[in-house]
Parts: sequence; C-alpha cells; structure tokens
Amino acid sequence: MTEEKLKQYIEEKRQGQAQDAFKVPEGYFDNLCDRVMSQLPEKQRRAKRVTMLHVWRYAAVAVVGALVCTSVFLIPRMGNKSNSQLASAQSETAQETEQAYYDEEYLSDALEYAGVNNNEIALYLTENY
Amino acid sequence: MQLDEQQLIKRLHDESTRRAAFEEMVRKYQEPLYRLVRRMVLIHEDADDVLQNTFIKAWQGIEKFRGDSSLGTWLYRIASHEALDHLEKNKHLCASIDDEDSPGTMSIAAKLEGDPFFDGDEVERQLQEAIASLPNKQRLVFNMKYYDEMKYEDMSQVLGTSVGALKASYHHAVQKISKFFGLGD
Repeated sequence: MTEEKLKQYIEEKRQGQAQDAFKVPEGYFDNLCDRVMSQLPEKQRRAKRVTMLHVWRYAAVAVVGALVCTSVFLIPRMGNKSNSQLASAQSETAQETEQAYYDEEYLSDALEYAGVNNNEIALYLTENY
Repeated sequence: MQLDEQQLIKRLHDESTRRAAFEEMVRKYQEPLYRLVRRMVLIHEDADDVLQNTFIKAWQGIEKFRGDSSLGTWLYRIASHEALDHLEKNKHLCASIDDEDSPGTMSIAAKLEGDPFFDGDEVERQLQEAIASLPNKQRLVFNMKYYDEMKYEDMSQVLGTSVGALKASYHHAVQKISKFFGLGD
C-alpha cells in the first residue's frame, strides 16, 4: 500500500470534508502571542563571564583555603614535632641522670676497693688546702 | 535564507530589539507550530501548553541560535521535542481502548468525538486512532509528511535523523495505518 492509495482511500471515505479537523477556540491566535510574551522575563539570563572581580574572589578563596589547610595540617604536625623534641630532651636528661648515678656508684666502689674511707679523704683535703 | 529572516535573526540577537523581534517571530510561526503540535497531542489544551513551552524554550535559547538552520527549522525542532516529551510524560493517558493493560481508558477516537475543537467525521477519528497507535517518533514523521508535506531533507534537519531512516519510518507508518483500515498491498 502506497501513500497515494491511503490518501485516496481516506478522501473517498471522508466524502469531501475539510482535511484539517482540528479547530481552535475563536480568537486563540489573536491573544496567544500576548500570553507568551507576558510569560517571558524582562531580562534574559546572561551567560556568566569571568571578570577581574571574579579573579579576585577566586584568589581570596584560594588564600583562605591555603590558610585553613595550613592550620589544619601543618600546625598540628609542628606541635607533634615539638612534643617529640621535648620527649627527646626528657630522654636525654634521664640518660644523663642515670649515667651520673652509675659514675657515682663506680667511684664509691673504686674507693672502697682501694681501702680509702671518708675520714682519709677529709684529712687529705684538709692538709692540702 | 530570505532577507526578512536574516533581518529578524539579527534583531533577535540584538538585546535592544530582541523582544519586539521575538513577538514578530511568535506571530509568524504560531499557526504552523500549533498544527504540528496539535496533531501530536490531539487535545487543544495540551497543544496550547506545549506551544507556550516551545516559545519559552526558544526565548531561553535565542542567544545560542547561530542561524545554521532556518528559524522555522529551529522552532520546529523545539516544538517536536516538546510534543514528544509531553507524549512520553502522559503516555498512561493515551492507551487504546483495546489495551488490556489499561482497562477503563478511553480510546483516542472516543476522546476526539467528545472534543468540541475536533470537527472530523468517523473516518478522521479512526485515522487519528491509527496514527496515535504508532511509536511517537514514527507518528511525528507521518504527520510531517502526510499533512504538512514536508521534504525529507527539511525533516532530517528538524529531527536530526537521516533521510533514509525517515523514508523507512514513513513507509512503515503507511503500512501500519493501511493495515489498520484493512487495506492490503
């Protein structure tokens, strides 16, 4: 079946009636334009452009972001580093204290081994000073 | 492209003359666009909604229109998309009376019979019923060719489909509608 045959068939059946059966209310096209125009915004949305103002805003945001990152990540790490240094210093002091204790112990043992008591040391210091 | 249309496009691109030019464009294209949309959605109120949406979309996109196609082609493209979108959103309302999945829904022919803005006889109602049974895009192709006698090349620009595919689509539509009327080869 071709388009022509279908059209011919429809036309014969239609018996000469108007082809466009779809009607519109009276005056529809007279006021459609006004109705459409009344719905349009007065000004169209403009495409966003990157201006110097935007550049400064982006720069300001970047600086603030960098500062926040610094405060969040870097400062605590610095704090950690100080704590570790403190811990290290404390450790060194403890070692020195321990070393001094061992040195004193060693000296005491050596004097006892040599048969030197505290009175002889005092006499020795009195005679020489 | 005609000189009038070139001037109209120029005025549409100029912000100071855009509104007046757009009004002129609406008046020029409202009737052919209405006919295209009405044959797709069938009911006047729906066609009115779709047509207004079409012009609002056109207004929103007027700055992007570069004149690669004619103004009419561009508007037909928007109207076609809007009509197809409307049909897709309301497909549950367009079921045929023979559709067993949707009992109680009224047939297209029955709807048109009660429509005060439809003046067709029984054959016309049956023809609309047959057209409405086609897939939406095929239905659009059939209406553009059968009623508007649009060239395949123009149709191709509007729908973004190859001429060969459009010819095949129209051929299938004619076969289906002929079969609907009980007409064989």
